[in-house]
Amino acid sequence: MISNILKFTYSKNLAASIILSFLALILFDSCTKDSSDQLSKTTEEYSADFILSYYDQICKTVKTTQGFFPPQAARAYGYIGIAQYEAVVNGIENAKSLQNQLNGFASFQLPTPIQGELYNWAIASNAATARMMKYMFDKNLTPANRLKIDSLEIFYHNQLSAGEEVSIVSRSQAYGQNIADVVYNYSKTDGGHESYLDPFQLPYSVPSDPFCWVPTGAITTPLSPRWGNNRPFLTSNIQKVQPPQHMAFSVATNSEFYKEAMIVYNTVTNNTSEQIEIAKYWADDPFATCTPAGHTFNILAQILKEERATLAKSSLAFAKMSLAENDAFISCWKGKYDYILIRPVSYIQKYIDANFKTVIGTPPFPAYTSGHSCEMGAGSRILSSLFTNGSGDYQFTDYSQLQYGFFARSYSNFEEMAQECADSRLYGGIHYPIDNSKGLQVGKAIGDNVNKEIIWPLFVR
Amino acid sequence: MAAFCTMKKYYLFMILFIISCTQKVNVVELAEQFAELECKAIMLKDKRYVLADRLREIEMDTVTNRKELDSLNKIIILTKQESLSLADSIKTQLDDLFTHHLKDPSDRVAFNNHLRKVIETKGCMLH
Repeated sequence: MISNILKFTYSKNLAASIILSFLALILFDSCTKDSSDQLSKTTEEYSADFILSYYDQICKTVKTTQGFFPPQAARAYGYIGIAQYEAVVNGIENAKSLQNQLNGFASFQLPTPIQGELYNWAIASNAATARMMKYMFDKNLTPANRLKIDSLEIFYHNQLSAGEEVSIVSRSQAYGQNIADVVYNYSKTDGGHESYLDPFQLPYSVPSDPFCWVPTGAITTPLSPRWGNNRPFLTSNIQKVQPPQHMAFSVATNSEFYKEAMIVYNTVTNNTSEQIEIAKYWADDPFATCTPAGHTFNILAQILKEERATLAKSSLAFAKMSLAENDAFISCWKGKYDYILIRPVSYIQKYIDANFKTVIGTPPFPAYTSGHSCEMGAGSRILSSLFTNGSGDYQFTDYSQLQYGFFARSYSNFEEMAQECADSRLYGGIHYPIDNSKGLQVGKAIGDNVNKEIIWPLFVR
Repeated sequence: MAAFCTMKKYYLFMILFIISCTQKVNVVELAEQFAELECKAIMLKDKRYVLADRLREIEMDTVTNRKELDSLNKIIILTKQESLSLADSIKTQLDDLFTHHLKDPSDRVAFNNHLRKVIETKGCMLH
């Protein structure tokens, strides 16, 4: 009897505990579901269309804003890229803020998302990017460009807010704006703040040694002589990658220096029409194009579009390129004013042929090393890391110069493209071969540093 | 009869489906339309380089006529403005083409190749 009762009680308890466990499981499961429903959408779930539109607008703004020469343009792209990345970084799995990774950034307190609250990372990015753009061009921003940025911001804010809770919209927007404010404060301390107001950093006196730069046109002082003192995003990009001393200056016909100048002279004299086209294709003159850095960003944007990259991948890509381009110009400009090397046109006209003419205009700053080679060397390494297994092999056609009257050019490797860009400066007659080879070397080292020294998220779509 | 009508609808649908799948993008037509703008861009680019060459000559000339330099600078500014405005139009049109018509990379390459042919025929290049 007792055993029967016990059996009954036991089986009743067993049944009850099974039912309870089942209920607990349902409850737990529903709780889990609830909490996962409470997570913000990841950055990978958003389209990158809006951010790509901003990069089109940055290019247009660079072309039409006074004072944005190549170094100034690269800096603007640089800080805008950081702001847009920081605005979405918390929505990317395993991504880490740049705050404690960039030189001098740790002392600026970035806002952090409120625990348990939902965010729309696209709205945050839209707000951060628009505000950062206005900051970076600030005093010289034309009313027309300001209006275009405002229009973009409103258009995309409305589009991205559709169907979203009002509290999420306002929280995300404020978060993005706060990010921009902090990144802007950080930018103010790098030495390049508002440099567009005085891009030639006057007064500056060029030494009068025979190896030194002399004016090659109406501009009598070289561009941004103190740019190399700016704070880079990565210290190693200055300390570890400076170019070696160039060959000793000499006018002796059997000297290395003379031979380098003769290569320029002979190349320009015997240029093919293809080489002339290449020289002009990569020239990227300020105020007619969005400068060399802008060209590289245009290529990146085109590939991201073709790859249908998400907001996460695009933000990561622009951030990497931003660091590389900004630092490439600082590093390159440091070398330029450490050596202040005379341009080929000045040397050739004085010591080889007074009637020598270059294919394109010589920019108003020293030769060693080539800015184009530095920036495209860095850019090629970033592109390789983003779209290849490191080999750089990638079939693509650059359509970005059609707008300036050039046919699109095709490449099968990013390094091949960088080499052509570097060679274009020789074809143009404005750089010695060593300016290009060492510039590429410096640029690639900078790109590698950016890829390796920063903790970037892996496997981002 | 009803079964026949259903079959007819089915075949019609299949034919339309096959046509829509196999319809090639008319890159020739698109390139010819686009060539008008690109031709202007090429001519403006060539003009910019001619002006830049002239400017360099004048700047290097020690007996430069100030008036000539000023008038050249005015032309350069106007040419740049014209180039920038045209670049915007081309960029907009190209984005539209790539988004709506030339979605496949091979179509884009074919478009670019044909564009070159059309422009060479039009003769709007200096060299």
